[in-house]
Parts: sequence; structure tokens; C-alpha cells
Amino acid sequence: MAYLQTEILGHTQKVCRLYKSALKHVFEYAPNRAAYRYAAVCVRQKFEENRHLTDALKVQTLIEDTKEELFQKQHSHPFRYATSPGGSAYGRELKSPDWVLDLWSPDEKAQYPEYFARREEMKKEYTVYWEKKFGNKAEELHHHH
Amino acid sequence: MWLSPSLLLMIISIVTSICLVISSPSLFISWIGLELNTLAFLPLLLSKKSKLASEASIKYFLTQTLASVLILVGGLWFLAPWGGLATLTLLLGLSIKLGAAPFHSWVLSIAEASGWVPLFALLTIQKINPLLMLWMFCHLSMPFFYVVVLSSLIMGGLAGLTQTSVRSILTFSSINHVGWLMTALSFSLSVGAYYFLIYLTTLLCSILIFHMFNVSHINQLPLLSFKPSNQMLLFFALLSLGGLPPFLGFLPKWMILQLTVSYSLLLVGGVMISMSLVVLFFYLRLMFSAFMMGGVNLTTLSSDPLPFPVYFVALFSITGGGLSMIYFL
Amino acid sequence: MTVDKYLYQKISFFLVNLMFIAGFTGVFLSSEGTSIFFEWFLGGSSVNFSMIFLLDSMSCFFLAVVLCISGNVVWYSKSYMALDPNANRFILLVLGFVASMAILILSPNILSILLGWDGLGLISYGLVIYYPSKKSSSAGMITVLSNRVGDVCILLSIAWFVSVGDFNFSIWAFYNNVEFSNWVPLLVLLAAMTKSAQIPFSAWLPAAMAAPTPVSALVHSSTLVTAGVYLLIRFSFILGETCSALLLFISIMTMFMSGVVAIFEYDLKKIIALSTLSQLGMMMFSISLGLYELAFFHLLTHALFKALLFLCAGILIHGAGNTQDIRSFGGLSLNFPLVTVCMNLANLSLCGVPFLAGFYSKDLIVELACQYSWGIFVLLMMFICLSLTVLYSVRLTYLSFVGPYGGGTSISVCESDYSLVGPVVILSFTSLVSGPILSWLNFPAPVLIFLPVFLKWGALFFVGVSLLVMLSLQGLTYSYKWGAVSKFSGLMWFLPWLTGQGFSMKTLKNADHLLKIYDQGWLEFYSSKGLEVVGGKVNTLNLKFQHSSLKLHFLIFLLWLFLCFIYIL
Repeated sequence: MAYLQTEILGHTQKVCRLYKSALKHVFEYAPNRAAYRYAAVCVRQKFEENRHLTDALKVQTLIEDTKEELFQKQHSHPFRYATSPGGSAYGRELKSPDWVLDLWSPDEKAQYPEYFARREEMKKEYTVYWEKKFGNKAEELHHHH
Repeated sequence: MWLSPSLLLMIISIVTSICLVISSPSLFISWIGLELNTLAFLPLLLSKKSKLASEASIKYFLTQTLASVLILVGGLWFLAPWGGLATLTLLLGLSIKLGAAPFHSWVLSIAEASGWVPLFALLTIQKINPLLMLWMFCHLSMPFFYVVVLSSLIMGGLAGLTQTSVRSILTFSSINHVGWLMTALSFSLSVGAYYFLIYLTTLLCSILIFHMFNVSHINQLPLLSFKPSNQMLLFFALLSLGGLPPFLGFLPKWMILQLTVSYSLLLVGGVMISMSLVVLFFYLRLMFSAFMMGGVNLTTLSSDPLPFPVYFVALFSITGGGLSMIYFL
Repeated sequence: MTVDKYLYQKISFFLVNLMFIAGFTGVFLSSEGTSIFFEWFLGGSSVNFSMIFLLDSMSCFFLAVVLCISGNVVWYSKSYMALDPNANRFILLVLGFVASMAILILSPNILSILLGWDGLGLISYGLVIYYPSKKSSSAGMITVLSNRVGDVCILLSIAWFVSVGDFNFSIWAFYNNVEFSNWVPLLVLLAAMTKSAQIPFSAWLPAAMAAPTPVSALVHSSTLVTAGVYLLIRFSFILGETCSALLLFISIMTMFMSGVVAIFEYDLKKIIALSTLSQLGMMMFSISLGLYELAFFHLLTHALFKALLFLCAGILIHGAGNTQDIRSFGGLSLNFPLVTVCMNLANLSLCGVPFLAGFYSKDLIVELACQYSWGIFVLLMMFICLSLTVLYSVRLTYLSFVGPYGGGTSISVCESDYSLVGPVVILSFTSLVSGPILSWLNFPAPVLIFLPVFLKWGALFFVGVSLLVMLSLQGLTYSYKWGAVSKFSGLMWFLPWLTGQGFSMKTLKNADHLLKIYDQGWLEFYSSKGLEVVGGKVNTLNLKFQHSSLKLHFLIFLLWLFLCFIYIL
């Protein structure tokens, strides 16, 4: 569904994102930290050169061209932080959603009596809060019929 | 009621008729055995007092009489110069008695009307006499015999598909089994007897369970609250009856299939295999409707445990316990 | 599930005990020159079914090495997996893995080999998908399906073994006139190729690095991947000329491919996995030349230093917060001095630097290959692969330890954790001494080799030169200039694509098409649906006959009688 536009980006945002992806790109190819700093400065220089352009068409083509260039020269092993999406340790720890606790069987729940007693209390409080805020839908429906 | 003197008399007469047929050297004595058998079975059918039952008994009587007449005529024709016609008529009469396929139409209405115990007798014990005579007089080399075997196999398999009554399903499966039995008997008596005994035990097990829970229609099955152990029992018993490999019911089928292949009766063998698939399918449908499809628990009645003999018969019929029979053959 | 606090120690202790038993049995058997058969006859008439265990010096030494590594790995993972909620499942899986490997090693019977072989495949799947992420599950799938190909080959060869009447193949080694089908060697070869990840099936080996690092140390050093090599060594008596020639080219290609790809790889564990692949290629190469004992020798030494390499990498990954990308390493020798020493030891051993473990086996293979004079192509490729090994090993060392700081964070407390460092030190010791010890045990008499001077120096020359080259390149990181080569090699010669999407996409699309047209289309309409409609009609007609009056029944009977008379007369 990549072709669906789900957000509207301002011009500044577009350029900033492009700059960030250019920096990442340079980092992937750099053999060491010093080389990366040098390349990053070069990228900055390129962006600064076109900072004061006013011709909208030219700006647009420039952005598109840069995107195309980044795509063509993309690294075969893009750098990912370990815990970010695509990284080596991403998704190792499963966090089950809160409602799973409601599906525990009674004997499982009995192992943590205090916690579940408090949980029931909190659920009731939350229901009261919810009905106060949004109204009782079930009752309304019943009323209409 | 079951041990009333008249009933005991009937049962003894049936057993006597079987002994008569088994041991008789002549066709005429065998015929007398058949007649005795018919007359003794009629009161059994009438043990349930209803309009349907009396109609069924009349139907049974008339068909059996017609068949007996044919057998007698066939026997007489042995004296005449055209012997081929004699065996043919004999075979026709015996097939009617067996309820084999082109002549099976009478069995259905009787099966529907009778209780479980007479049904069991009708499907098993009543077939001993004609089968024995068949073994003596007929063979698979006869074209008409071939036709009867094939049509029993096919009719028993396919016509059972549309049935929803448990009695009809068991009847059609027994028509299918008659096809197997006739093939087995044309090879040797021991294979046929073995098949028959195993068929008897497996059928006994499932009929006992149906009798216990008084199930006569497929729709009743999901409404029963079976205990899981009883479910398993019925499940395995029916699978064994259908002839699924690990169960006992598969063993005689295997023997017969091997014989048909070694005698290169490939048509019969192929029809047997494909039709046993269909038979297995309608047993499975019976069971799926009972246990697999979510198991609707409408009734809160707790089912009583089955009596011990049922378990015994079930274990005997499902597992290789029945294998011990092989030593008696 | 109650957690046993000392489960890891107990299992480790148990495995190390078994290791000593197996090792000393091996020494005894090799000094006596005997082997022991345990046969449990199970039955069978025309085909002999029996459970057999074969204890000879080969199986005992291999078992000892496997148990040594697994004992250390279990000890190591006590600390490595300490924070994991499912650590008990992990350790039991590892134990099952070792058990199925032991079955595989000890049985000379194709049926029980299948048992171990299938167990390895199944449990390796369970270990690769140990972390519940999407990446691991896809990696596990490619692993288990690639291995499944080998399982099927073994199953098929079992079917062929029925025709000779005994599943015990070590018996057949003594008979020259047994008529084996031509298919058996090919099937065994194919099975070994899938397990040892030779070229068309290489994709799963780097993918399986999604498993926890201790598992990689166990699986990719001594157990899973070497099962294929071991199988071929055991089946050496039926490998004919055709199979050997096929294996020669495949193994050379695998060696070359993995060497090149490792240079373009950035994931620490994948680099080590690819180096395993190139060493497996080396073993397969020596098998294809007929040097089975040398292949086995290299298998043992390689297992020891490769396990060490993985364990060191595990400490680095652990210390650097699960980061595996070597771009974020650099200058780690300051943080991890001990690990640096051990890992360099393993790396240099891998390169075949003299008097380390790898030297003894690798040098023998190279020199014997030279002596048999296998043609310029084979020799040249062999030397190139030797130098490729040096290139990627030195690149790894340079980028992670020597070179300038890369930008990641790391903590060096791991070096004071004895259950992490202990196994590493022990394995360093074994990979130092295992070379000479194993060579004395395996080869009582020295091998006689005649070579011209330039060939004798060839191996050392290639190793030295490539060492210098890589050092002068300061750890190659490729740039745009490499262009297509970097893409091609960076994506592992498109092998993952070939075994993954490339193979399945087209098939799945076609299958979808077929499903719509046939299975849910006219085939359904005319077969099952049509049968249902027609059969229903026929059956309704049939039922009408059956439930109607007795007169009709009798009419039908008489009709049949009439028909019969006509037929007879």
C-alpha cells in the first residue's frame, strides 16, 4: 500500500528527511568514523548550495533526482540499529497485550490473587469512567428499541 | 421379555437351521434349513408391536418365500438337462435371501421397521445360511455371480451416501460387505468365515452402542452428551467397521484384497477399494456430525457409563483382540 | 515450570563427562586398531532390521569433539541466556540437538541415521526460531525446508537399501560386488550437500544466524553442517568417479563464493557463517579428491576453532548491546583484550598460520592436492580460496579490533564474567593444541609428500601476501566503485533469492491461478459438484424404488430372472 498517501509533508520536512537519509547512506559506505565525518560535511555542503533556490520546479526536480540517486546507489547491507525494525535483535521480546490477562484460566489467576483482585477493581472503575465520558451505549440501544 | 419361552424356541430354531445347513449333504435338506430359519425369524421381527413391524414381517415372509421357491426350482432343475439354468436360478434365489445388490430393495424397509437386535440378526446371522449355500454352488467364474458382487459393492457404497438414518446406513454398508463376503467365499471358506466373524463383532459393537443411546437418526448424534471415552469407543468401532488400517476391520479386507490381486481380479479389487473409501466416508460423516462439529451440548443429561460387556466387545472388535480368532480357522 | 537454578551446570558437567569417556575410548580404539559393534536385532525376514551402534576411533573422536564443544557452549549460555525468559526451553533443545547428533555419529545404519538426521533438522528449526521475531521465523523456514530436501534424499536411499537387504551400510563397505544403484551415491551426495550447505542450498546457512549465538557456535561448527561431510566420509566406499567430479566442482564453487561474499558482508555472525561455509567447501573438496581421513581431520580441528570464533563473537555482540553490524564496531581491542586475543587465535588458525590447529589439516589437504596434480584450474582455485579465507578473516579482525572507533557503544563487563570467558579460554587452549594431538592420533606415520619448491611454498606465499594486502587496504569497505560486483556479492550471488522468493513466487502465482481455474472452477463444477447433483438425482430415484410396494420389488426380481433366462437361452 506504499502508493497510498497517508500523510502530508511540508517542504521543510521533505528536505530534512532527504538530508537524514543522505547522511545514513554516507554512513553505510564510510570505512571509519573520520571518513564518515568528511562525507557528511560534503553532503551538508551540497544541501547548503541549493538552500536559497526559489524556483519551485527546480527545487522539486532536485529533490526527485536526489531521491533517485540515493535509490540507485543504495547499499546491499543497509545499516540498522539492532533493536530498530530490520535490525538483528528486533522483535526478540514479545510483549503480549493487556487483554491477554483476561484470558487466563481461573487456576492461573489464582496464583496471583492480589493482582487480579485489584485488576477487577480497576476494570470496574474504568467502566464507570468510560460510561461517564461516553455514555452507556448498551443501555441506549436498549432504550431505543 | 427376552427370555420368554417362545423367543427361546425361535432362537434355538435359528441355530438349528444353521446347523442343518452347515451339515447337510443335500440341497433339499439345506432348503428345509432355510425355511426353518425364515419361519423362526418372523416372530423376532414382530417382537416390536407396531404397524410398521407387522408390514415388515409380511414383506419379509413374502420375499423369503419367493426366494425359497426359486431355490427349490433351481434344485429341481438340476435333474433336468440344462444344469446352467439350475445354478442361475439358485443363485438368484440366494441373492434375494442375502439382500445382495440388484435384489436389495426389500431389506431397507424391513431394517427401518425393526428394532436393533432383530436388525443385527438380519444383517449377520440371517446371512449365514445363504452364504454357505452360495459357497457350495456358485463361483466367481459365473458371470451372474460377478454382476451380483460388483453391483452389491457399488450399490452399498453409493446409495448409502444419501441416507440419514443410522439403520439405513448400516444396512447399505452390510450390502457392501455382502459383496466382499461373496468374493471371499469364492476363494475359500476360511477366508469368508474369518471376514464374517470380524464383521459380526465390529457390527455388534456399534449396534450395541447405538442401542444403548437409542440413536436412530444422524441428527440425534450431536445432541447426545457422550462422555469422551464413549465417543472414542463409537468412533473407533465405526472406523473398524469401515475398515481403516490400524483397526481390526482392515485385516480381512486386506486378506481379500491380496487374494483378488493374486488371482488378478483387478476389476473387483479396484471397485472394492474405491467403494470402501465411500463407505468409510459415510461412517466418517456420521461421526463428524456427532463429535467433531463443535459438539453441541444441548442436553444436560449426564450419560451413564456403558455396561462392561460393551467395553469388552468394543475392545475386541477395535483392537487386534479379534486376531485370536485366526487360531480357530 | 519450575526453573532449576543449576540446570545449565548439570547438563554441561554431564556433557563434559561424556566427552572424556568418548575421547578415551577413541584413544584406546585407535591405539588397538579395533572397532566395536553393538547390534540389537529387531526382526525382519528379507530385510534385516537392527539397531546398530558403531564405536570406532572416528566416531569416538568426533563424538568427543562434539561433546567438548557442546559442554562449553552450555556453560557459556548459562550467562549468555541468563536474562531470557525461555532459557529452559533453549537448553533442552540444545540437549536434544546433541543427542540426535550423537545418534547420527554412532549409527552406521541408514535408518537410524535418518533418525538423527531428521532430529537435527527439526531441532535446528526450533533453535533458529527461538526468538519470536519475523526475521527468525523466515530464517527458520528456509533452514528447515532446505534440510528437508536432504531428508527426502535419505528416505529415497532407504528405499534403495531395501533392495540389497540390509540397512547397515558399513557391512557393504567390505564387499566389492554389491550392486548398488547409481542413484544411491547421488542421493547421498545431494543429502550431504543440503546439510553442508553446498552451492545451490547455501542460502540457509547465513540465514540461520538468526538463532542465539551459542546455538550458532554449536550448530555451525561441529554438528549440523558437518553432518553432511560425516555422511559422505562414511559413504566414501560408494562415491564413484561421477559423484566425486560433481562434488569437486560444487565444493570449489562453494569455497570461492563464500570467500568472496564474506568480504562483502557486514554482519559479524554472517561473516563467520560464510567462513564456515568456505571451510565446509574445503572438506568437501578433500572428499572429492578422495582424502577422506584428511577431510575428517579438518572437520575436527575446524569444529574447535570455529566454535571458539562464534563464542568470541557472542561476547562482542553481548557487550555491544546485540549489535552485529561491524560498522558500529572498531577498536574493540581496548574494551575486550582477552576476547581479542582468543578471537585472533581462532582467526589465524582458520587462515592456516603455521603451528595453529588449522595449519595441520589445511596444509596437508593443500599439499596432497598439489601432489596429485589435479590440473591448473583446481590448484589455482584452491590457492585463491586459501587467500580469500585470509582476506575475510583479516578484514573481520581489522574492522572490529584494530581499526578506528566505529561509532557504536559497548560495555566491557563481559570480560569479567567467568562463565562467558571460561569456555572461550578452554576452547582457545584446545584450538592451540588440537592440531598436533589429533594429527598424532589420526596419522601414526607421517605423510610422505614430494613437491617442487614453488608449490611447497605456494600456500604460505598466498596466505602471507593476502594478509599483507588486507592490512594495507585497512579492512576493505567497498564503495560505489565496486558497482555490480558489490551488489552481486553483497546479495550472496542471489542464492537467497533463488531459494526464497525466486523459487516460490512464480510457483505460488501459478498455483493460485490453477486453484481458481481448476480447483475452484470447472473441475469442481464437473467433478464433485456434478457428482453430487447427478448422484443425488439417481439416489432419489433409487429410494423411490426401495420404499414403494412389495409388488414393485417382486417385479424387479422377476425382471432380473427374465433377463437371466434370456442370457442363458
